[in-house]
Amino acid sequence: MPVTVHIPTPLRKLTHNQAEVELEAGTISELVDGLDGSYEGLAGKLLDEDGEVRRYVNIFVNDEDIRFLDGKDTPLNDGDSVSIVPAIAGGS
Amino acid sequence: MLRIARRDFDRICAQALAEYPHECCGLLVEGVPSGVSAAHACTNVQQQRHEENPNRYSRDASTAYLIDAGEQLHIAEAAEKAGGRVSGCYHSHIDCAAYFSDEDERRTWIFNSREAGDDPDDPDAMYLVLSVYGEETGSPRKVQGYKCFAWDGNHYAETGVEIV
Repeated sequence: MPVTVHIPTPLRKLTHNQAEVELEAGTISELVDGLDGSYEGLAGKLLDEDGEVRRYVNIFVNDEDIRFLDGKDTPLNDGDSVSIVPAIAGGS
Repeated sequence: MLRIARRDFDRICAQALAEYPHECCGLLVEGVPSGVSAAHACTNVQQQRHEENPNRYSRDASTAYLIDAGEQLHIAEAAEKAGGRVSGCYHSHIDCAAYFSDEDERRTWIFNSREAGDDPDDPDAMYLVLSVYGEETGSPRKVQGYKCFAWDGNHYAETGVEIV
């Protein structure tokens, strides 16, 4: 069973308006590569020029922030649910 | 136009006063079919991030907010299940006016590119900003004012707030 990825609205133009996509991946890194292979340009939205998850992008695996797991090396299991969550931030 | 229930607006004000001198923050969830937005308080994790990594997060919570992403995810999921949607967010400014700052604007383009002429990521979102003055200025804490901003297709402009 593949991993289900929940796509936020502003990225759906890259996924042909799909709110959820499924693919096989063993880690978050593999997932991002797989997403970019299927939906060109997606990796550039998620990763910075150093290949790290962008500062204002959050990735959750089954409601756990990968920042508090193993980051891009966070393992994925069949049936996992991955959510991409753009940060809401600002200031005076 | 932001429509918000009086009890929710009063809760936002109470949160802003309680969290002074840090900026408070939360999400606005619009119900269907009422069109009235409810306030969902969130944790401002900016202070924690700043203390952990001041180079990456140079501002502390007195001049910035960052909504706890886990809380954001749960609120958005619950809103969708109920047939509603996250319609925007609110935050407070500390000892300064209620305005939509450059920093507020900048953070509304995360996936889209402002330089490329894209709209913000959520061009329908509304941003309620409260101005809170307090002890730092030698006065009792007070919500001095509030304004709401939305994207008009070209720039962020003030929009009305109806408290119902």
